[in-house]
Amino acid sequence: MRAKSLVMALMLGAALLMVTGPADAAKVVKVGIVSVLSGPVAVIGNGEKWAAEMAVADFEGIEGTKIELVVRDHAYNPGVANEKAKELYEKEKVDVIIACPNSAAALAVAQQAKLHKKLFISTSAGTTDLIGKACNRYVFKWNYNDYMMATTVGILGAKRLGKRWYCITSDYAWGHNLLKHFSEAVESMGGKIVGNDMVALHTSDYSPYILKAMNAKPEVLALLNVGKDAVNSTKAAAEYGLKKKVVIVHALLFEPSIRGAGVATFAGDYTAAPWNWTVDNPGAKDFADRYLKKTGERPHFMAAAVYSAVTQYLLAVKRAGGADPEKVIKALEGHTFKDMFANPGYIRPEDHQQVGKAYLLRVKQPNQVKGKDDYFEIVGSLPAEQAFGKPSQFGCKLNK
Amino acid sequence: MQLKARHKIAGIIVGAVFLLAAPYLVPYQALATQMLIFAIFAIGFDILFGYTGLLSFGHAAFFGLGAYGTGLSLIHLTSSVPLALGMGILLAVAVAIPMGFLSTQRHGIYFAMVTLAFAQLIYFIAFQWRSLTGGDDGLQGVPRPSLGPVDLSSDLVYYYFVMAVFILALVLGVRIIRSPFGRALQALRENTDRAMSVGYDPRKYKLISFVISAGFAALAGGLYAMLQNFVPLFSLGLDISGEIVLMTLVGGMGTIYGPVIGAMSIVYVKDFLSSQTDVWPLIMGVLYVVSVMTFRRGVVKELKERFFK
Repeated sequence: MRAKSLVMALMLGAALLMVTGPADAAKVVKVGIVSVLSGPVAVIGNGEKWAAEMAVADFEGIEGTKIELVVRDHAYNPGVANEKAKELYEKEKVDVIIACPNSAAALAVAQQAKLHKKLFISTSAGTTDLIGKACNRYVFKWNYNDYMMATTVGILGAKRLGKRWYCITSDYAWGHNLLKHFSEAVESMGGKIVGNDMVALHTSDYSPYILKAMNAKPEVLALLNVGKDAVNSTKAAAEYGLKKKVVIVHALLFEPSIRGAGVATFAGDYTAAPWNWTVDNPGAKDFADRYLKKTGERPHFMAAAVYSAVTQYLLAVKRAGGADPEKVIKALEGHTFKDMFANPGYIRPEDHQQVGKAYLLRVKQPNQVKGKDDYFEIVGSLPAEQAFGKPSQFGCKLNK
Repeated sequence: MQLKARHKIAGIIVGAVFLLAAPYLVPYQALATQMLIFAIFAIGFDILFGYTGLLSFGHAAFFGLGAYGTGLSLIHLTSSVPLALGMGILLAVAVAIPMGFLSTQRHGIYFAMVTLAFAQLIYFIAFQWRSLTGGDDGLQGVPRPSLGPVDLSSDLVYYYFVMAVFILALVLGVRIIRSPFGRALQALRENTDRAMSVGYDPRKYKLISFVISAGFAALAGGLYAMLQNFVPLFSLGLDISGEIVLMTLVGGMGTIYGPVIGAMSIVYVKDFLSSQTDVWPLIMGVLYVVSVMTFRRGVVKELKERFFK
């Protein structure tokens, strides 16, 4: 009797071992998305969530492997982002966190990635600190950054739109950085910044700054602000007739902001982007159409970047033969890829910035808009090396 | 309204078991720590709001100053945890004295507005002073050094450290309100003129109460900076100022234990809901409305009235 139960126990143990053995080998990859899903800028995060869902479904369809997706809302609050990152790395045991708009939030998550030795792919934070003083080997920077946006508009703008520039800049860290990169780009093309105003965030009355700008007689007015400030300053420029005399360029302008304020407000203005849904990358049109069917909107570039980052991460896991962070880092570093987002895209091994061609966009006139979210026309592009600068210039030392 | 001794002992046992088990009850350990941090904040806020009757809409200033003070000390000055926390409290108290002196000259809504204005002032100083505070990006890279032989870097160990601080803060808070000084505060709250007529100087007592509550807020802020390993600019923001008022109200102002329970439940419910649904801010709003309408005196006071009387 006793011997029998011992044999039974041994067999049971062996059976258990056999069950856990293969299950371990077929471990599912777990992808975490931390983004903003509530509040006034939820439009960014919702797009990122949808794009991640599409990327996971597409990858599962092609490769037949199971991918688990965990999505968390950080409500645009860096403290919450930090907590959610902890929760995802520790409790949910995700292999990677992707997205995370808001620079402060992304910097905090980057620090958590380093502490937990797990990957973080920042797609929607602009700060160059992620590839500069705050860089670390577990962090990859996808999509755009502030330097690339300012440089693209500055170089192409100074070449084609005019040499005399006037800036109206939001008075905080982001605006200051942008202005610095922007002036360098404009001046490198022989342009001149004839004046600049630092304006407090959430200013409603832009008329004094617009009047000052008119006196300086610029050819181009650069609005280095976002959201309500961008809308208010653009409207003021139109009201005072400045918009008729000069070209307006924006540091950051994408479909949701135009949808909100109406295309007439921004018609004829210029901005930069790493991607637009009308771009002729292979698969871009198909992605944009499927996204429209799923969500009723066209994808903005933040969403497209998440689709690309999730896909490229999963492909890197496949190449590395597992989700071990160190092996995936090796598989991503120096990798060149072609997808709907970047054609081609390259991941710099020196600072982990994903680089690709940058585009100059012009907002269409209201009567040219055909169909949902058809707001931009691609009017120029800048090669990746020029748009993203050299990795050495941001001060990242990855292997210290 | 004194509870029976039997109930008291039962309460202490339940509380102790809960505190010890909390990291295993909530989804992740850092959340349990955060619940206690806001509970410490709420103890201090209740001394001012519940017991002195002064509604401050600017207490995020002290929470944030404590966080920045502690964070900056840990980065630049010292690796001693108590010293860094002390620096955070010192910074907040140094600001609270002039701020309290000026704002306690006004009553009611005017007091609330003045504190709100001061808090915004401090928020924008931190926002602009990039070289020191990191501005909009927050103060990144706050270390969590060990406390003597105890390595605090694990979130579980840190939880028990914060728990110890919380118990000390709770005992201190209860001592303060039961002391003659605390009685004087309550007398001022009930009837300022009568308290003055028996020789209490209301301005002095209000100011001291204000500074004490700022100290508790700064202690919570310092612990928060070490928990997060960074200080978000948000820690000085309006949302925190408003949230602490709600935590105190929902739990039951003027009960010390009420705000503690209010703070812990709100932190928990917020985290839970935001992992479930995108419309969590709406649900939180409904919860606030419902709790204010049905538990007008706060959860703890209502329960006391209904079951222990």
